[in-house]
Amino acid sequence: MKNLFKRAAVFTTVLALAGCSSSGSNDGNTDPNTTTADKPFNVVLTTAPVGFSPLTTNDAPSTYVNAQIYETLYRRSMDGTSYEPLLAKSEPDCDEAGTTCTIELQSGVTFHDGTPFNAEAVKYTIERIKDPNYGAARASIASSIEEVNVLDDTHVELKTSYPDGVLIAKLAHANSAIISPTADQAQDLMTQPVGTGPYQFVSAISGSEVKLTRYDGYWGEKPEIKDVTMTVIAETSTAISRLETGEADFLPRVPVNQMNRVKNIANVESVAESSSAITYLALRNNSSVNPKMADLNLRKAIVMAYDPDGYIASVDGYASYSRSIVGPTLFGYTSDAENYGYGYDLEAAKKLVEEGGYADEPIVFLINNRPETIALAEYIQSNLKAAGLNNVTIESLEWAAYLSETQQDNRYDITVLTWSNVTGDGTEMLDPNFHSVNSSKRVRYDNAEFDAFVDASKQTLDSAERTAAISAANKMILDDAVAATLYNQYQAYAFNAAYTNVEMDAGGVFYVQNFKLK
Amino acid sequence: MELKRENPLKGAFRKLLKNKLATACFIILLIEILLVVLAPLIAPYDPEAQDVYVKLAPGFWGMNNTAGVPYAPGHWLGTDNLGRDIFSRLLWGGRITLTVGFVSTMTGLFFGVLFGLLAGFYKKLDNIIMRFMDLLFTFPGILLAMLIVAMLGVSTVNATIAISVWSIPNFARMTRGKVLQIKEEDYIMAIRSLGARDTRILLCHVLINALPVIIVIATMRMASSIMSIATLSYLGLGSPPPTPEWGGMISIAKDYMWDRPSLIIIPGVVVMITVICFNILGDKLRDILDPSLKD
Repeated sequence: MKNLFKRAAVFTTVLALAGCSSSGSNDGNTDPNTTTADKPFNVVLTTAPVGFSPLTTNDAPSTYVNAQIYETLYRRSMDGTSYEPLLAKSEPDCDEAGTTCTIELQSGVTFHDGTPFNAEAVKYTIERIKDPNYGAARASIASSIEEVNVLDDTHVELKTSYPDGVLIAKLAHANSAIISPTADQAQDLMTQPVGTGPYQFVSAISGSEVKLTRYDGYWGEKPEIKDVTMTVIAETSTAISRLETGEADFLPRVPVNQMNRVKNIANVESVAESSSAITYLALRNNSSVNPKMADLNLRKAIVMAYDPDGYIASVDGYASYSRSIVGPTLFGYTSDAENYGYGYDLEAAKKLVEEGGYADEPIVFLINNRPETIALAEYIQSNLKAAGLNNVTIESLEWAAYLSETQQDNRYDITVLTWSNVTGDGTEMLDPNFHSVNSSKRVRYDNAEFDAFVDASKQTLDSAERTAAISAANKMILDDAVAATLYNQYQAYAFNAAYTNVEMDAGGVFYVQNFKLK
Repeated sequence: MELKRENPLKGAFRKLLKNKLATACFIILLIEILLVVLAPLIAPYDPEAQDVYVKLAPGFWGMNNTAGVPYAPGHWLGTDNLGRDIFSRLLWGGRITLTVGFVSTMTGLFFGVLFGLLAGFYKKLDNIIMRFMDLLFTFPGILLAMLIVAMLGVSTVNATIAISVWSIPNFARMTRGKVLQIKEEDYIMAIRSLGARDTRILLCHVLINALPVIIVIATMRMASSIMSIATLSYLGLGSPPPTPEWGGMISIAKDYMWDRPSLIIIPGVVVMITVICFNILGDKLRDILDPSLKD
């Protein structure tokens, strides 16, 4: 035994010494003065991108990468208030009926593979999005477009089935970025992306790292940062340590529960600001595990049991709450929405549970396994228990598995979903999440009346009409308790203070081309 | 003529208590088990009850804190990220951790010893059983457990099954070795020539004499089983949230270890002490019961 202790003591000492020496050498790397434009800009992602085709991926990490490689016809301004032409030269020129629009395109733009960007490429991309066999992640983007005509190299004509009020918003969506037709036919864009953006793809190790470099033939202003490396570090704590040691320059997504730690790191700037992203509770009223979920009263009880103030306190106030599922920063929000649906009312929830005899009903609560989601789920579970729902089981799945499992039939009763809303438009919240045809089919809200409101919100250019339709759809979904706001997200990010102009737009996308060295 | 059976366990316990370190470990484990069994009486709070307004409060050491998060009265080991009482979670979590450790060790012991006895005693079965055990051995333990949990789904019961399966080959191999040795002893030959049946020989003579080895392995496996359930829970494959489990507590705490290091230190130290105690006990028992195994 003595021998054992001796061995343990030696081992501990060796470990301690090793710890000293490694932290000693790290100190050398943290000097921000050594940062130059030639040093790769290191972005740390906590979830791996699914792939690099803008058309077939719709997850935030993929968008982080693709936003550097690809460009859209329009782009939402950083403050989220307007849309600016990007690959398009100006706003669409529509006829009186509003169903035929001509878009003038930038000239002299080439894809990274040398293919010229022109009206053909736009036509090709939109047709790909529309093609049901292609598997576009957001086919609804092009659902209103009936025909794409090439007028000449720099003019493309879009014929829509109705005057599309969200056309620009949809063309500004990351999922409608223009792809190179030659590259798409020659290779798999998921692994070998080719776009017109300021950065071109160099290499990637699936699930671990992506390397990009400045595209010298870029048509716009040349970015200051030359090389960009995006590394996947699933452990948030480790990711933040990278920032601390200077190995990482940018963390686009800092869980708000880590803000206290991030704020105290020297030479690192952190930002927490409200965003258009919403985290909501989805309740399946159909295709659920427990058929009782079809009861409005059970769903109402679940919604009423949730206490948003407590959750906001648990994340140190880095979140806000609006009852409306179309968040306050989105087009289509009206303040009336705060009275739609059901707010926190524990007593009423208890009563509903008691009256319905729901106390021991098994409820499957499917979530992704991010630590902050688990904490949120545990919080909700405890809220539900307070209301008398004693049999809520949390099942957590790894991210990719979670995304596919939530689309299965009869797979869950409630889940936590987040929608970052890249376009900032209310229709873009309701259509892809809840429409019975166009949505991702995670929430199975099969309501023709609701669908009609959502469709109506798309099929007019009149803002007032659109707002009214969005508002009606919003009310319906809240009154039916198939979705309830958990909180409106703050987006928090942190970056090496040697850089400036590092910002994310309200939809949670960043463009390294704007980042500058101090 | 009557064969006098000698009980190899006789006196072992007394010998064990002569060793100070082993006694200390024994007492620590006894106290731990007592606390855990009495958790419903001792624990000041419901382990799952949340109060987010006192989240991440320090324990008794922060009673006089003037800066930072104040001490939350009553939560003398502090609270976690959702304001749950650490002390209560530790007690209730111990129930899960120790029960899973015990149950999986016993299940592993039952099947392992059964396979070991059969393989050692019957030459025909030896190859079949032991090659299957080798197959189980080829997987690193935690991978095998993860594989099983992935197939069966995340739950405490499935984690217990996974850890049991992982324990089986250890018991089987050691038991078989011992059986092969005992089988050749003269007294087995003697009882056989008296006309005893195989079952009687196996249970009353072989098993009894292999018992010391089995007890030693069981004590050691107890330590690894506790580590395993803690590891599985840490990886999100053990007890699902919000069940308090020591490994799960560590897993939650890792996100807050910069704000509140005690969250990770407390369950970590408890797991460490428990595992070390079981290992030391196993070590000492081996010295006493089966000197031939020493080093």
